[in-house]
Amino acid sequence: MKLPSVALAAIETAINRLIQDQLDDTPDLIDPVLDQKAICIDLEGLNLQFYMVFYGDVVTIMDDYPRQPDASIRGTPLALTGAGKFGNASDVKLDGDLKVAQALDLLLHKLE
Amino acid sequence: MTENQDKEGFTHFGYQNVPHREKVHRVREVFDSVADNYDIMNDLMSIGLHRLWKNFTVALCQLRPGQRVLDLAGGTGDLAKRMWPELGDQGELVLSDINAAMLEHGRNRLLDDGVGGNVHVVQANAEMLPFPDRYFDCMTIGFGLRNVTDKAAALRSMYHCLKPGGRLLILEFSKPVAPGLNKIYDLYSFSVLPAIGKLVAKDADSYRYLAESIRMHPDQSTLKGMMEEAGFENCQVYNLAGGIVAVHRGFRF
Repeated sequence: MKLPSVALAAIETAINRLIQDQLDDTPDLIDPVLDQKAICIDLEGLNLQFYMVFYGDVVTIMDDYPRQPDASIRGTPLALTGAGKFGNASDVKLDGDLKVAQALDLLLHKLE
Repeated sequence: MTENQDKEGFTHFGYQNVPHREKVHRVREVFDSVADNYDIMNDLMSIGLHRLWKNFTVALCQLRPGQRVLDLAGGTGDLAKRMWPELGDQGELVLSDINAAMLEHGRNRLLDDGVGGNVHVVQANAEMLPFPDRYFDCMTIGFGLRNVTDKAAALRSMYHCLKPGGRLLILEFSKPVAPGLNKIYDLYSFSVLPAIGKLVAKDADSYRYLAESIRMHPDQSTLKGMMEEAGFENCQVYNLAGGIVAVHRGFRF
């Protein structure tokens, strides 16, 4: 299932705001391996799928991506963000370019 | 030949077919006429919603300090005013419009709002932008593309002036997608809008043109296709107010 584009825009704005807020204190927040990479996010439980595309320190979120993504990450929202005590590495499944997937996984966990 | 020009060099001006060159002049007459009442009419016609649509568009720009931005058909500077604080002292904002009256109105308004310093005002035709290739990080065109005679040429020109990684945001009236909205929208557009225009701006014809030009503008998927044809990638459409308005975003990589 796809999220409405306006909801994706809200998520995109929130993530970029978090990134921008943390970049001053953490210049290496985004692993350079993510640059110009697209990652498919599959939210288990919600049956939702979207794509995160990186260019520099900006991430765009799309409901569809015209090419094969570089990597994909599947997991529940809690597992992906490592929220509270519910996050568990074994609940997150990575596919494709593992360096890219791991870099995104790390970024999501770093974002406060 | 482009989507809005036939073989004889005719194009649409609202529901009328006019020679290519004449459209530029007639659009200019419309905006010369509405410039003074543009802001109040925007508020009345959209019941203030245009402010939210513009905020949404600027949020999708994902601007960073130090970036270089072009606001095309910038008219009264509504989008420029919202983008400027994001750019910081090192950034650069160019407000551009083909219409001198609108541009003057916009420049004065930006100055009144304390927006200045790294702001430049340029009268330019979107079909032939007078900027170097790969110059801007971001471009916006709010409620302006439908008035451009050769939209395909304008999209190509915009594409060339964007840096790799740069993005174009098009905020424009579009085609309602919400069920049942079409009839209400038609009634509003062709009866209420010209009446408000006559009452407030003393100019029903310009607002009738507005309604007609919206109907002649490419729908969401057609415009997305035109952007892709111009070279834009990762194009996305964001429908607002049931599709009455849509934001299109595309990237140059």
